[in-house]
Amino acid sequence: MSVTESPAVAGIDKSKLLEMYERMVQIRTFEDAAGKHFADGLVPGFVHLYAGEEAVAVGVCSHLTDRDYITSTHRGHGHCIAKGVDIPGMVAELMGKATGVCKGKGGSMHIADVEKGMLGANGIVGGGLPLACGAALTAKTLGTGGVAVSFFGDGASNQGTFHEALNLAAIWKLPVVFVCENNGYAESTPVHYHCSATDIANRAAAYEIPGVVVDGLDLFAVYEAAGEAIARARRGEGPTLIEAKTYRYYGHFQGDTVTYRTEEELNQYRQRDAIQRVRKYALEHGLATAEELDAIDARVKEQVDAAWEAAKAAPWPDPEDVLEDVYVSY
Amino acid sequence: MTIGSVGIIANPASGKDIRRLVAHGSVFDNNEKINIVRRVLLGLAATGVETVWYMPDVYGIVSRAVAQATPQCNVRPLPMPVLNDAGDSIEAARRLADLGAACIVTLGGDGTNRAVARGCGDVPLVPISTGTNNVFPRMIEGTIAGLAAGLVATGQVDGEQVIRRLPRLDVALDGVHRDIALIDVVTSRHAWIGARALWDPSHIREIVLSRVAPAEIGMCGLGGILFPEATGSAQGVHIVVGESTRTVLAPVAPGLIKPIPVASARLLPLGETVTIGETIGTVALDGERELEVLPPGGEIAVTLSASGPRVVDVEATIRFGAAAGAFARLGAIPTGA
Repeated sequence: MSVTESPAVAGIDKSKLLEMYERMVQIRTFEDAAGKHFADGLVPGFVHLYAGEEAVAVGVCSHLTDRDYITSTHRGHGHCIAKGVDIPGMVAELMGKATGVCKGKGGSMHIADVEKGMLGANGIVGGGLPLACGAALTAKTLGTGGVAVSFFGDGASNQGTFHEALNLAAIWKLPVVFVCENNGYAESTPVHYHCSATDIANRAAAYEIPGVVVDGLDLFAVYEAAGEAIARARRGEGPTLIEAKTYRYYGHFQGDTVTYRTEEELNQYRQRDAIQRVRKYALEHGLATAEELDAIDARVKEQVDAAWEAAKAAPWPDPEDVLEDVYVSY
Repeated sequence: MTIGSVGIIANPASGKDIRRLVAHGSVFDNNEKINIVRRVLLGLAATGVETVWYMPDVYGIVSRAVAQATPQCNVRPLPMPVLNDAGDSIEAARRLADLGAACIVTLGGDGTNRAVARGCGDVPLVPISTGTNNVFPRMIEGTIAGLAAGLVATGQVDGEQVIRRLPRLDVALDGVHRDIALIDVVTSRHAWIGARALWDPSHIREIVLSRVAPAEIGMCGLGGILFPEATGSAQGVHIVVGESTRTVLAPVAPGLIKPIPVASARLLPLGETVTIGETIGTVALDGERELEVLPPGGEIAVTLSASGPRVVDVEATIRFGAAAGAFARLGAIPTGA
């Protein structure tokens, strides 16, 4: 057996692994830059950064195509990148520029790219879950074979929309996968304080759908579970709830003083960094050299830096266009 | 009569892995574990156990059980850090052994008990099943488990009569001891540990079992099905999976029954070592992918050992206890009440 046969058996060859690594690095680099430029005053409004949680978005979205939908959260940059949304367009959107993917009208918390199946970040906690049900119903009704994935946080699992969406998806056997990104905190409230259950996945039992817990810092664990859940949804067997235990490196929002957790805790999670784990795996299994991975890191940094420079130079939206694309005509 | 303390190790993570998605495993929520612990504690208290030590966890399975049951014994957390991984169970077992606990009640699956077995030394276990593919722990009522543990800890039943030492599998990679398994060691072409649970038989290469038990779930059942006449004997099984005209239906996971092509199979005497060479992929211990074997590959050696954990036979304990009048004394109703 050759060295590279092994990953192929389980569905990930070198090309796929490096593609996923690059996506993860894109997210991390994008978020680090967004944090820096937010501090520089280049980004209006708020930004909620996804750094640390990359394995979840990439592990899930690597199974999706443009015919599939995702709904996102206020912490949505990572989902956008994993779903293939244009990075320069995202940067411009954060800055409110006319070249943004929503022409500067969405900003960080409302980025959407329907062509890519990215139905929108969402400033309403738990707001994406019913939207995913609607998208899944569309796919089911039209017979497109598409699947909808709803990303949401541990805090959102206490919203009524979570329970309504799981119930609706269960009774209609919708092709939807609910992905709870449990990063341990609903804003500043620890999950053990705000949630009556240790594992949010347990709540799937109440709706008689599968619920599983995965290590959200492990790309392969997420990829494996998401692949099975998405395949199940495509087969018409209904929804699944996946709880990915993860961690965010930045505060709830940029400017958060993060008094509710310790440096020690943060450092413990950094020891299990999702990107470094993929890097280690690729090196140990002979799937990439350090030089190849470094080249990806450098290429991504150039790409993100160039996106910021382009966005800075891009025009502001014309005030005349303020009402364009705001309302839909049927 | 010396009254020993009892330990409780309840794994908050068991019963939630991918087999709820790819098979038909039940979700085992922690509230049910609280209920079981509560009944264990009441059973222990009824036999006169005075001190119970438990593994702390973030959810507080035992502390919540205590808050709702107020058992008539001192229930104390072990003074240990909580890291939320299998290391907690190992550390708790070590500390219970150091404290001289008379026995340890475990709540979890084969994986939980494997971790406990790594730390508990000769302290006997009373394993209650709350996992998925469980062979080592039994589906047993917590009240009965508590009573049995209590009868042993208080000396009302002689441990020599009811405690059995079970086999284990010692796993070495390239000559270096790496881990143990209580039930099975499976080498797999699956390239990463990922979701851990072993559920896709198409990746399996070789299987080593610590026992012959056809009525069990998982790979253990496959060995028993191949050698039904050896059921219960002090032997293991070594199976090589691969192209063959011989295909056997095996209960791989709850509700997941798959045909497994068996290239070869043989009974394994105690003390014998199975050597599996040219391995790249993962090694699953008791149903969970635990070890990665990196390129250029390595040699896995699995030895069937008689030196596994000691386990309390709950049924025998209750029977001996009843015969010795333990329950008659416990159940005496004061006259004139």
